[in-house]
Amino acid sequence: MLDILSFLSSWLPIFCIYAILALCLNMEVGYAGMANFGLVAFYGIGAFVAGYTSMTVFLSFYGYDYPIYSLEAIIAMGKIAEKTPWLNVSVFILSLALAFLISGLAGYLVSFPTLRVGPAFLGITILSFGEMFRVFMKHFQPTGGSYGLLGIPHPFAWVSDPLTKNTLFIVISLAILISVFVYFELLANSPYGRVLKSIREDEVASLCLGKHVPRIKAEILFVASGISGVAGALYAFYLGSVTPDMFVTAVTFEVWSMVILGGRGNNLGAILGASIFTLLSRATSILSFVFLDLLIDPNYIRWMITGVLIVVTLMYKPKGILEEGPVKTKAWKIFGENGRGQARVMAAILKAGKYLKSALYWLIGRETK
Amino acid sequence: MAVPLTLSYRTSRVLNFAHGVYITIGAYIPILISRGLGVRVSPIVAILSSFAAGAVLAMLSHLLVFSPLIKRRATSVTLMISSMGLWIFIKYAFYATLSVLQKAWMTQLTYTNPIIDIPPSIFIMGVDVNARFLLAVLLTASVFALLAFFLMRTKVGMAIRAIADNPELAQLTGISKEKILLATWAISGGIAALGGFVWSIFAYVSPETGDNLILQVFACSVIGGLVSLPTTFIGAMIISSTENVLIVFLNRYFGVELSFRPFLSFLILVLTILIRPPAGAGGGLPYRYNITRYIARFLRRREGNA
Repeated sequence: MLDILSFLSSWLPIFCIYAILALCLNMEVGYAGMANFGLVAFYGIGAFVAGYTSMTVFLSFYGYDYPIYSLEAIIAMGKIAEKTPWLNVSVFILSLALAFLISGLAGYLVSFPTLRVGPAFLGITILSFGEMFRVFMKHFQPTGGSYGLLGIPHPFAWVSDPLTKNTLFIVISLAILISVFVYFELLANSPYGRVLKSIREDEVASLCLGKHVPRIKAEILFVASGISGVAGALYAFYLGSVTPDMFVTAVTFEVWSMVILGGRGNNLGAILGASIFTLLSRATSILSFVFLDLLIDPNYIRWMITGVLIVVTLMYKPKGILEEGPVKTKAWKIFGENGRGQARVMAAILKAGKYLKSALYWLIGRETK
Repeated sequence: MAVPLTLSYRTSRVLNFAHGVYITIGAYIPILISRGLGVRVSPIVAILSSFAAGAVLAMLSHLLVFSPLIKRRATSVTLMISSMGLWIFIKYAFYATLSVLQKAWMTQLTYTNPIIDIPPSIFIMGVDVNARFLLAVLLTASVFALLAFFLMRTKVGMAIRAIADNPELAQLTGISKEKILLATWAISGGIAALGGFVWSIFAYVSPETGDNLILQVFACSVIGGLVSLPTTFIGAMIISSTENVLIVFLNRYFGVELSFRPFLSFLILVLTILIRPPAGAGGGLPYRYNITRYIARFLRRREGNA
């Protein structure tokens, strides 16, 4: 039982982070049809912003003036991280907000050069943007260059029991995941979501119908990059450290494979894909931990499986495991294919409501028409 | 290395991420032969073997993955993702093979260069010339000369260009699209592999080599607009000269570190897309916010005010 608990506590945070990333990518790829190969850049920006703000706020609050990447700062952080609970939590919230804003702005700026070109160019440009970001961060001294930041304060560092601490973090990340899911689900089923789908299917047609395609795409890039920045911030707080080499392009491809396998244009599918791939990576890491001296690194096998899964999914089930459903508008719910029965039920409920209302009125002695 | 990418993109509309793997394989085949068997490889054997390996790999990937997908009228994004999956698969399969071979042959394989049977330097007309450099230059020049001759003069080459320009029309005149595509893939894979071989003459090679190069290769192709081979060639010249000359300049006068190299080429890529967007070729819409026009309009307005 304890084993399952410890497994869950190591798997769930990673799952939440990747699921949020997969949801963002699904929004961009599955709905708006933008081939974003540089998701990792926004994820990394979020992580670095979170690390930078939290460490700066902490150090300046306690009056240290070490540069935040120095060894003294890391030691000092170890001392002061547990002292003030309210500061931990407020810094956590502040960092998440800043990560959202700055990553979103970066996404919005990236949209300017890329939106005029086709999917191939867009993919390459954002991909190289991600790589540019990594190379830049490696040489950017204020965030520690290639060593990155260490000693980012855990938002619940003041809780002494590690299990409770982990559980609190998991609850927070699950809450963020669920709210992101609900938000994207609402967005996808709104008129705006239908515009997005029309852009995916035919850009020219939706442009001709008077939709401002570049602006809508830029908005989606803003929102999705911002939320992947939040995921990055969560990751930074979970690990307690960020280094530029964590944000290689392979991360983007992992998220892509989640979206492809789960089903493009289906938010539940993205979450399913995230759970499958994070479980796979957990399994291989356990394997490599149990059998230390294998001939072939299990990681290689995991990536091979990932590659094969992508290709096979695209060839034999191009829509993924969970296929894209119809848009859930109110009209569809009532009058759609399976909606006949629902319509009858709805009518019955409305009628029952009417009777209930008149019964209530009779009870309190008011006259009904 | 960028030219075959453009070639395969033009003819088959696949932006191939697996391209980097062909480069790596091409660099590795001579290494495997020389280090594994403990022989010094003559340059001709090395060239032929790496070309063949790249060509076979590219043909296989076309036959097994891209061709069925194209037949199903997959979108270009789908093709891109499938090539990405293929890339990941081949790369890690290759890693696994290497780790097995390392155990079997008891040699270091992840960071080596091939033992090629060429003298360190030769005298030509009394001048001391580095033989490796000469080999690389001669190889590149002859490959491009052959490619140009092939595309311009031979029947198959003309068929390739016809398919690239207008597939339907070309098929109406009796060109077999499938065969031509296969030939194109073989050529582009082979040339990419040769590029990897040239790289391995100068530098140590690891399984990541192709991946590290692929972004620069993409940048070259995009600067060239992914349309014509000569512009791609110019793009490659621009990228390589900035990477080697401009960085030294910046390093000397502004103290920029040498490892900023990749950053520069991406910067050029983004600038290219901003200033002169290669619209149309990638299937994009020419939206109207051209930066140069903005600047021009801004300047004009200022003149009007003054």
